[in-house]
Formats: sequence, C-alpha cells, structure tokens
Amino acid sequence: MDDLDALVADVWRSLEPTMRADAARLSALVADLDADAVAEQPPPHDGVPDPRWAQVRELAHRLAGSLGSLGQREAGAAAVALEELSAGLVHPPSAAWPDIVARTGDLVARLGTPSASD
Amino acid sequence: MSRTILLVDDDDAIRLVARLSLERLGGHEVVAVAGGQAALEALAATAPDVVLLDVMMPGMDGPTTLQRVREHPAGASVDVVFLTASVRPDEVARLEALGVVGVLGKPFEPTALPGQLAALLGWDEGEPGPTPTSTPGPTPSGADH
Repeated sequence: MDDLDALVADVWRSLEPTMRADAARLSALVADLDADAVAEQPPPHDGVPDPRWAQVRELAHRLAGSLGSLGQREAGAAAVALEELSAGLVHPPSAAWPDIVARTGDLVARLGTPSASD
Repeated sequence: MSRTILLVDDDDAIRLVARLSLERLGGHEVVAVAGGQAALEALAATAPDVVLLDVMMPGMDGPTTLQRVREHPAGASVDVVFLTASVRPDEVARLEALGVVGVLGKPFEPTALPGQLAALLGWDEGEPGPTPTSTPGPTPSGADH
C-alpha cells in the first residue's frame, strides 16, 4: 500500500506542471468570461455556445476526474464542486457566475496555482 | 487470480494511476489505451476479461466505443464497466441501461479500485471497495504495457 502511495506520488510529480497549467488556463478563462458577464455584454456568438465556456467545462471535468486519484484530495474536491456546477450548462446564466468564480478560485488556491487575478 | 483488463481513457493521469493500482495492488494485467479506436484494435489481441471504459473522450466517446465493441467479434460478450466523472444518478442509470456491468466514478481511490472492480464483477479476489456505484479513470498502436 505504501509502495502504491509512493508510486502515485511519483505520478503526481510528473504530471503536476501540466495540471497546474490546466488550472491556470481554467482560471484565466473564467476570469475572461466573468469580465464579459459583469459588463453584461451580449454573448460573443449569438445563440451559439461560447467556445471559452466549453473549454472551462472540459478542463473542470478533467481535473475533477483525476486530481483526487493523484492524492490531491482538497484540490480534487474543489474541482468536483466546479464540475458539478458547470456540467450540463451550455449557457451559464450570469447569476451562476459568482459561484463559478468562487469555486474556480478555491480550486487554484488549493492547488497552489496563481490565479488569473494574482 | 490475475485477470486481463483493457483500460480505455484519454486522460494520461487516469491511465497511469489506474494501471498502477490494478497491476500492483490487484495483480492484474492491464493494457491501457487512450481512445476508442485503439481499444477496438486491442480487443482481439488482448482478449480482456473486462473493458474499463471512460465515458467522455474526444472523437469516439465511451457509449459509441461500447457499441463498436459489441459489434466486434471479440467483444460481443465481454464485460464492460464505465469509468466516469459524472456520477449523477440519472447519468449512471442512463449508462447502465446501455448494457454494462456497472459504472465506477472518477476520481477513484487507487487503493480501493481493484476491490471495487472485483465487487462489480463478482470476482472473489480483492478487498471490496467502499461503494461501487454500480462507482468512477490507458495505448495497441500506442498501448501502454
């Protein structure tokens, strides 16, 4: 068991830069979309899902599915919370943004990744 | 008893960790591929006891891969277990209705995965995992061996 834990820790160390980069990208996308939502600008692609949001969902889904298995339980739980909020939302309503921003901030904080606002 | 597991997931992290868990702790042989097409190519050569199949993958997703596996001569009756980060009850029910043994959730606990899989499949080896939700996850031309 200890042997497995050590091996999983090795896997985490090898993937950590990539996953931190994914989290930073996620944070930047959310900050970008949040700026649009706060300014109440019209959707950039009228009636068409914003491709930035699709990337947010994809990144949140990937991090939610893997961080916990890599021993990053707190960050993993934050990613799961974000994934649960974003899954199935094609057009996130502006009212959802405070939660989305908060959960993204929680994820990057627990992962120790600089957020887009830093 | 060692089994052969065909693990299909586009996420490098999941392939690495699931493979470590199932090989080191479960004592199984794992062939890990990154997508549906690679899984179909591996099916005949591998003759797996079970296919552990991710749901959301680019290109050919899990349900489509399952359909293609069932059409494959070597896959018509093979046990399939979905591996997914979406474990909402309605989604689990939808996946189970596709004719799989069960659904395992991601993230999974590496120390529990072999037991959860064994419990779903009725294998008598391994420690039963905490809660196989009926719970939440590797390349023939690119197979990780």
